[in-house]
Amino acid sequence: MEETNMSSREHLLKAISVRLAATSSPEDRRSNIDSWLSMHSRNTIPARGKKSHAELVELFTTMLTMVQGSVIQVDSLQKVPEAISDYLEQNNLGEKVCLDEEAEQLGIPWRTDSNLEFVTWQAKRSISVGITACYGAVAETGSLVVCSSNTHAITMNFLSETNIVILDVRNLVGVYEEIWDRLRTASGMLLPRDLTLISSPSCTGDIEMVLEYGVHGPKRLHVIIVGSAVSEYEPAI
Amino acid sequence: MSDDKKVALFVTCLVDLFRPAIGFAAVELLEQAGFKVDVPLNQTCCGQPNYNSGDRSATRTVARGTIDLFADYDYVVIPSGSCGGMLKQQYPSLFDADDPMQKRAEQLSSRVYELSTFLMEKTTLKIAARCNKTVTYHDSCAGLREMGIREQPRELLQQVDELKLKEMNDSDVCCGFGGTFCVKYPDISNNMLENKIRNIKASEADCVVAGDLGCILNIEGKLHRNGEPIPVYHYAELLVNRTDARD
Amino acid sequence: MQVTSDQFVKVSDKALHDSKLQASMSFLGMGLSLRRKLAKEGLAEFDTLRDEARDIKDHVLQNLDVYLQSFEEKVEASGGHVHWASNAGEARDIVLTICQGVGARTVTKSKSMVTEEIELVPHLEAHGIQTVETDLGEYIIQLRNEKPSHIIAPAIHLNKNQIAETFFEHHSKIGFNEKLTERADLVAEARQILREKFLAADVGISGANFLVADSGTIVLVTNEGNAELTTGLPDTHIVVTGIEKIVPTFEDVSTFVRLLARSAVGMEISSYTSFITGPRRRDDRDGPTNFHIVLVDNGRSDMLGTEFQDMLRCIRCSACLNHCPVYLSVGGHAYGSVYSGPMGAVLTPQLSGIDKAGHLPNASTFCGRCEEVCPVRIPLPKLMRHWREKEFEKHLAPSALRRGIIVWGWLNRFPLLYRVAIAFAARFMHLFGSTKGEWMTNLPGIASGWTRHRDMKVSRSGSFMSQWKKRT
Repeated sequence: MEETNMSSREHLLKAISVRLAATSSPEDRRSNIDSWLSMHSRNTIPARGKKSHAELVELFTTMLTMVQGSVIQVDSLQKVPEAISDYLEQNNLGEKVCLDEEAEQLGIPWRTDSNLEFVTWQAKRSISVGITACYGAVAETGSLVVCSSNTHAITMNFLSETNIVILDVRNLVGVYEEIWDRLRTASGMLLPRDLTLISSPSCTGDIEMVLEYGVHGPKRLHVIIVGSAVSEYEPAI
Repeated sequence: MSDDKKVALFVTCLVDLFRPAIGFAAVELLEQAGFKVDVPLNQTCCGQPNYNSGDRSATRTVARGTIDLFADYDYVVIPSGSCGGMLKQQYPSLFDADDPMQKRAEQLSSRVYELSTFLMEKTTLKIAARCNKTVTYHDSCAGLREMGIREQPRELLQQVDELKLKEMNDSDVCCGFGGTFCVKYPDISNNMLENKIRNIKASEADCVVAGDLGCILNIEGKLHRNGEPIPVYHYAELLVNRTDARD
Repeated sequence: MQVTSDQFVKVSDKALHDSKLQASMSFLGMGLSLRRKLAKEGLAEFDTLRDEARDIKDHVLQNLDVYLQSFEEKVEASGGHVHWASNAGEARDIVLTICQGVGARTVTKSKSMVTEEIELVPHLEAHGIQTVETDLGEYIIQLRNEKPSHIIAPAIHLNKNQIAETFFEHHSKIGFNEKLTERADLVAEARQILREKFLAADVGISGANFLVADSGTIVLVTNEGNAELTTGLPDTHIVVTGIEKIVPTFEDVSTFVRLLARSAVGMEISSYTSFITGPRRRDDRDGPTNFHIVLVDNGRSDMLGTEFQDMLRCIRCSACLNHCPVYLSVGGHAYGSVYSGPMGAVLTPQLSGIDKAGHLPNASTFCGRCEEVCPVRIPLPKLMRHWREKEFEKHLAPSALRRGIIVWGWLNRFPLLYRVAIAFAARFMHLFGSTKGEWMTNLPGIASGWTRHRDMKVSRSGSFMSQWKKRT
């Protein structure tokens, strides 16, 4: 197979370069893309994502709430277990939760300060309530940014019937581009295997175009924002 | 006021044959605006039927003839967004960049106006007409999307004494005419036309107004077939009180 | 790609008389055009983003060979494998070989139009690999053994009662014996059945909405979350995608993300947008260990440098379908191709030959709504016209019409003759009008298409030109 594969590759690339030969040489094209890729220049960024941090927190909440997500804000990590208990009680979801390792490590007094009952996460199992942390969030479309890692099984975000996500307010930004910049600064754009923008509970419009929630992924998406808006935040340009 | 400018009317084949009254209404409006109007006798169809049927070479020949014929006019005015679009938007794309005809097509293009746009942009004409009716305006596709005609005819119609303009739903959705489309795919065309008729009736207007004779013949023919006593006019006819003397 | 586009008139005739389909289509048209309009109005920068998206795609297409190699390098650096397929057959075989190599018995699949185009699922099934479509709409039509009727809402031609019947017919065999009537219950039942499939699958196959050249990342957009379960759970993930999906950077992808869902269904963003780069890292808690990307040409490179190149900008959003009065009249199946509506009318002739798909670019009024809403500003009517030109050159157009058009073109070359012909026609109408009244109700030949559904008012005044001559 290797051999036919190689020949298809060359065949295909040649077919393209022959077509493009009329307008440019391969060297031209190489330098065209090198300059484009090295610049990472931003295209137009919607004004709605360039606001004060307090306004962005509000925008994030509005956007996510509009599509059946729910959001609450607490002022410290200590308040998270109680907020979760309240949410579970209000929605009649029991007390059993599955805690992601990443969320476990946030410094939240999970075991000392709550009546939550923890079940162990097992790969490839459906779970009722999954509590996860996240990389950040983008206000312009009310999107959470979740990443796979050695402490986070990203499938947990999809196998949970209810996904509760804990968001450190400092990681909430206005627009997608700020997330890419943060990744570049933090790790030289060393990307996780899977970075997903989660912008609502799972939904489908495939039957008569009426939106139904909870088709394959979570039926409920609840975000707990920890902390207050940051005054020194500088909006994207 | 503008008598130093040479204005030609491009009649269009449909108006020439099926509804000359629209052509005369256009002339009347241009004359009211102070222009002397010339109608070159050697004009033909704009070539759109050939163009849209894939016959590019015949289209080019027709375009050359039209470009030659109208070369000396300051303005070429057309009572149709569709034929206007053909001369203004499509002619320049018919010729290769190195063909001298291309430049001439561009020159013609810059002088071509659809009637309502011309009246709004190049004249100070005040409409002197009366029509005690509620009318609904159908946006013809090519006029709307190739020529940007949306407000111009509506603003002109608003100047008609006693006329009430009432928008129908989906006024900007195709009526199903589409040139040869309506005879090639008559049943699909009819489905689109029936939707249009439904929206017209729901508007409860007394009559329909449009800016392209293709759409007018289509809508009018269907209303007649259905026994609906709702007449269909070109806006130019309303603007010169020609709603009775149709032919 | 097998197409049945030559049956366009027959199938569309049936569609026009199918009241359930007509109801679905009218709902689709009204709903989505309004939602897109609101989404567009909600984002002041929308049209600027469209210009930028067009320019980004044009830049990519003009440098495509180098971009593909750059993408390949990055994928391999991240531990993935890139395969190249010149045509559908090669693509199918590559996927099958990978599946067989890992001993796959069951495959879950998220939505991908390229896999429809290359008819992948029947190929895998024929080789004993059970392949389950997991997008709800795709799952429904897979049960019914139908083709998608819409590129993002494949089961849009069905109402919930039809879907309920299909579910009962198939699910009762596996212990779901209740006849359902509510949408929510249908969704819940599909969720329960497909969840087991996700958990058990050996291989997950997805498409890709975008391929980021800078990082070797594939971008997947869904609302259901099925793509994430398809790609994240099995040990092998295969991406099957077209070579035109390249976008240079994350910054550029952001622009497309802002356009896609708004153009498609009027949502601000889809529920899930996943950026997947390579296989599972050594210490990762989950993810596939094998990651393959199959880059499919299948006729795409033939469009480069031609009048059809603009079509390669298409991001499969479906806005052109949702706004096309012809699509909304006849539905997707009439097109006889997995690609329907205006984008299908341009793409299908390229993939299967204009001789087989001639109806598609002809069945358009060139109303221009498709171009008006296209997020990457593809001049769809112009491209359909180019197909008509090809058809005309090859003498494929229906002969009566072709003859008529040739005569008309010829007549227009001789203004004097033209004027005589018009005057003659006007004279005929005058005579007709004087004897039979002012409405023609039964025209012969090609014109019979007109009077099948409407009348034609005659003019009795003579032509404009003859009257004008008298005036001057």
